[in-house]
Amino acid sequence: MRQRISTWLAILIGLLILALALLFALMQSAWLPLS
Amino acid sequence: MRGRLWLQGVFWILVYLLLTSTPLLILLIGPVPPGREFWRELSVALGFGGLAMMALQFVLTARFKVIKAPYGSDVIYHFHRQISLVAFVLILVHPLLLFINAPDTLRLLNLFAAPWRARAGVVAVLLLAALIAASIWRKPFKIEYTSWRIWHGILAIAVVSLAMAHIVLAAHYVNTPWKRVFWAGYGLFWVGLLVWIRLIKPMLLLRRPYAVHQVIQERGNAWTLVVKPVGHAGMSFMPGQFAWLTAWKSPFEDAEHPFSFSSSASQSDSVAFTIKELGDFTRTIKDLQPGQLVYLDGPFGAFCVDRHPHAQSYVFVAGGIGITPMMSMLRTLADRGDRRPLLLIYANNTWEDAAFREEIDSLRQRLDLRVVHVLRDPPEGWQGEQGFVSRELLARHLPPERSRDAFEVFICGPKPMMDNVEKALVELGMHLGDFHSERFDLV
Repeated sequence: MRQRISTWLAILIGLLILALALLFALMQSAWLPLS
Repeated sequence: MRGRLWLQGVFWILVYLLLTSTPLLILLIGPVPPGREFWRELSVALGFGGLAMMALQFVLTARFKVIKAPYGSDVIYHFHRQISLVAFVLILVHPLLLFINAPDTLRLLNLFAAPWRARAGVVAVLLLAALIAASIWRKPFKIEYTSWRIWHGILAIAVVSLAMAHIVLAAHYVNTPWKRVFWAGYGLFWVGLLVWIRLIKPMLLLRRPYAVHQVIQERGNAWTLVVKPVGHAGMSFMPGQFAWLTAWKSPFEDAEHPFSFSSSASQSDSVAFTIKELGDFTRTIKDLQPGQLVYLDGPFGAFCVDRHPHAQSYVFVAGGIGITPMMSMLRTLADRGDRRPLLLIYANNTWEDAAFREEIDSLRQRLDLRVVHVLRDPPEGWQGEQGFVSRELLARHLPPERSRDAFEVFICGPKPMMDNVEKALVELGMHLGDFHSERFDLV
């Protein structure tokens, strides 16, 4: 059961990194201005 | 204790999140190079994120007791495996997005003509794919565990080194002195970790050897290895924990194998492991000679009655050689004079396979212990339980009181048995925090 929770945690961390990468790409490509 | 461990567990998850996202946050801070098109930037960011996750794998597997304590080693290794797959997907998407965004970049796959930054990146991804394939399909590929372990380490170091080279050679986001300092620090941290794992830790183990005292044959094709510390005080452990054993080789050769202690934690002059003959290494245990030096790294693991001292009783569900940590817990409870009610459900293929059955029987004199043997292939005239440890069997024997802390269940055995027992316990109304599993069959 704890292993199943750790699987979900791994997926959530992957999604967090994906979200941060998206944010970064939006800022860098000027679709989302920094200021 | 449960509350403190829970807090520690949350703390390390937050640290992990911070460390994984740091490279991306660093990219976002300070003077950034001129932006490029969205898909290219997304690709680069996923590459950085994937690398951070890969580099952190070395922390997960470095056996820092303080990190492992809240979760147990089996959960850490399971997470290591799952997060590797997630990181691999992110890393694969990195070149794929580049190729889709600008198909002419496909020429970078030609290792003969490509610049060094691309060569390093392509080889890193190929080696990572090989590393993951060998881990998932080690048994179908018939790769022996020790060789796999050595190559797993070599490939992992090569992958992260090549990925770092890829970043430095691409140079786009290492554009300011303090970012160069950050990446140099990240690299140094990682090298320091490797020095700790491959050099310092083996040296410490070498200075604390153990000598083989006895090798005793048990039922079920298993052997009990008793070792005594040489020139030091030995190891104190909690019953149910395990240690990594190095025999026949030096600790520098990275040829360790994890085994549960089977001896009582109250016994201080020696420790024992009971090991079933299942593979190349375990088949050599019977050949160990008295006086031969072996090395132990441990103790590790959260599978232990001592972490649940307030339980009113304990239930142990063991399958085959999964009896080993239970023996340590039963012997320790007997040595402590613990009088709480205990139930042992012990499954084996045949009556002759049931290791320690005579000692378990005699432990009933010293403990309030009820034993339920379950045999898949019982002898003629067998009156006891037969078949598998099913939900119905558990319902027949578990204490009727299901409230929190009424009893804690410990499960260790073959994977299908453990999966079935966990599922059955949930169906029977057990709280998730009240049952605990120990899994060793990780690769």
